Amino acid sequence: MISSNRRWAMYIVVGMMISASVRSAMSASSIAPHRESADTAPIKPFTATTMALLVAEEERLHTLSPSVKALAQNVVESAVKAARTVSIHPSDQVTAVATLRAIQQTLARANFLQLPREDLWKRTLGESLSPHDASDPDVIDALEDSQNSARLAYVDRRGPFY
Amino acid sequence: MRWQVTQQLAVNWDWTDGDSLPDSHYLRSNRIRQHWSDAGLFIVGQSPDAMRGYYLCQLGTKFSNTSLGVALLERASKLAPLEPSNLNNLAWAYATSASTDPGTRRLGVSYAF
Repeated sequence: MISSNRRWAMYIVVGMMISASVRSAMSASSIAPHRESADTAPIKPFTATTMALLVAEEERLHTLSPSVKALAQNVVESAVKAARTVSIHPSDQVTAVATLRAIQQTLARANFLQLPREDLWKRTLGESLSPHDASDPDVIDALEDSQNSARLAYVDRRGPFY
Repeated sequence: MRWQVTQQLAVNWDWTDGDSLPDSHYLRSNRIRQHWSDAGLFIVGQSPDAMRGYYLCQLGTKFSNTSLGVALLERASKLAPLEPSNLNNLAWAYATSASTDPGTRRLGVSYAF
């Protein structure tokens, strides 16, 4: 029963959380009396993001290593920064897609891969943000999988991978 | 994911393919999705609470042999009551826990369906 529902993929959720973070920044800006430039618009602190909240939820259940927490913060901050270089107020399809692509490339540069088989998918941030060497057979499979072909231009083949 | 950029504009983003794909792409890839679409359940935007509920379900499922894990599954089902996997996994947790009382077990059966 549970196996049929193992749809959790860290990659997707991180993406959703990051986009939520960008969206929040945009929402906050949209109620301001005037529109600020990308350079001056305030960035929501990491502690106020959905990712931070989910890290806290997971820490109630088990200990997360400092490296996992640091990676969670770094990747969110990097993705938000990349998105803002495109636009903090997308209002058309082209700009919105460009913003999402910038986030996607940031995640690829962090060596976040789509795992090719469902049995490898992760349920927790602790699992998802733990490093894997380039020699790991699952990493080798992932790098050869067509689902990661668009990421190959950005990944660092020396690893580690997530 | 689907980003509601403005009230009029929603943009799809597929993190697997790294591209913005049209709704029709997803309808083509799985026949059952046409049934969901007909029922108004396909490509429906998730609220932040529902998204969080989905994540908490995954986390709770991992720890469903503990009371904290079950409590997480219960919270997840409240946050995202329309997510089938949340109710399914909560039902499974109830069914496999020796400490579940009979009333909760019956509730679990209804969640399973």
